[in-house]
Amino acid sequence: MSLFDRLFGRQPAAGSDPLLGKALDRAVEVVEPKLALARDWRNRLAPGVSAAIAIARAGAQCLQQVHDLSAANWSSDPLLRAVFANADSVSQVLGRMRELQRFLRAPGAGTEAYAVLGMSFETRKALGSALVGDQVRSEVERTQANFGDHRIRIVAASAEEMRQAAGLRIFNELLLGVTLELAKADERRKELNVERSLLQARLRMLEHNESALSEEFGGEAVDTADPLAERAEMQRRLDELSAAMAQYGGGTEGLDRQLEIVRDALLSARELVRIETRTLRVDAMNTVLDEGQTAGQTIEFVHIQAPRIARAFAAVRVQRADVPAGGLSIAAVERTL
Amino acid sequence: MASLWLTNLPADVTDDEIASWLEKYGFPRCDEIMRVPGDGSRPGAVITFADLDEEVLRRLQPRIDGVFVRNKTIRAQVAPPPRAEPR
Repeated sequence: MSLFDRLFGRQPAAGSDPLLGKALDRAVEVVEPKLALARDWRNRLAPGVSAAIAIARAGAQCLQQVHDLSAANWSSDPLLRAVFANADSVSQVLGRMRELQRFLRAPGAGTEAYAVLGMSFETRKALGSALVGDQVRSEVERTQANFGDHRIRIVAASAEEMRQAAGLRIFNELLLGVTLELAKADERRKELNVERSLLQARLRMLEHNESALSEEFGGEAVDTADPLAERAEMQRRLDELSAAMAQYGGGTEGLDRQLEIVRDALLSARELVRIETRTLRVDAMNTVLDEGQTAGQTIEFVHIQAPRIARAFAAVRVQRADVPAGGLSIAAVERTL
Repeated sequence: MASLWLTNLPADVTDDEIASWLEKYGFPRCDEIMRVPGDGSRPGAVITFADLDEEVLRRLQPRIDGVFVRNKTIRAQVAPPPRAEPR
């Protein structure tokens, strides 16, 4: 694990952030390597990358409580009871996790691994029976918490390494989100370019021969009564398109504009990505209870809400002995199917 | 989900090597590598990224296409999304 990887799980030191330089390099490497050719790109990109680092650090630091993930522990850990239907499903999920198996199979691997368990999470309103006062009433609206689609992508030898890997993963995901923004901007710029070329050709034809224009375009938008007004309207539309294209950058300004798009997208991630520790009180059927109630158990997990993702996460520790050997053959069968 | 189709890979390349090449060029960690040996002259692999958008993969693909590794020029294409099963 490099210095870059090691620093993600920790709080920033006072003064300058030692991670920023490496993070800037990684940002242009993932998003668009050509950005490194732009003038003063490091200083211009630094605010956005700093914001992304802060998000990644905050997310990694949320993963403090580590749960022992095993079938034997299912009945005693409230979180495991909430996210797995039964003890057997813990073993089945562990058997499917290739990253975990690869990590534990590696030479020199220890007897345990720390991992981040990701799950889909949703709450659903349902009608059920409930004790109201001293009466049992049916058709009372209840909220059910549902967890599913368990995945383990981040595996490490210690809790600290796991948090560092989680921070790095969050940072990379933010960069991929920015790459998508850049791809959309490119696509939009191409569309505008085509539209502008068509309009320019149409304007040239209008200037050349108004009757030819009318035949070419079926006369649909041509005001033959007032060609000057038509020309003025086209020119206005052309100016609008040129202004819109300038937003996405073009020619020599392209890189500068891309740099601004990347910086703004990273800065806006502060508003778009919400990472928080959620606490719920649930009963044995995963019905969400009020905080004031004494029944049920309190569970705590990390919830990440972003434009492309909404998932729950928990830090877990897995013993090698709890990972079923049969999982290896399941993985092999899945690959050949 | 998006998939990358790599061809003309060195015959003895491992999955870990492919994953590390891709990460070196800015790709995220892949979720699955399915090897397609063919007749052995141009071994290939389908690399699956479970959480990646196809638009992002199309933007990343030119970085690995044409890379020269161990006397082989790797070709990369974004694989089309899987077709629905016929009923």
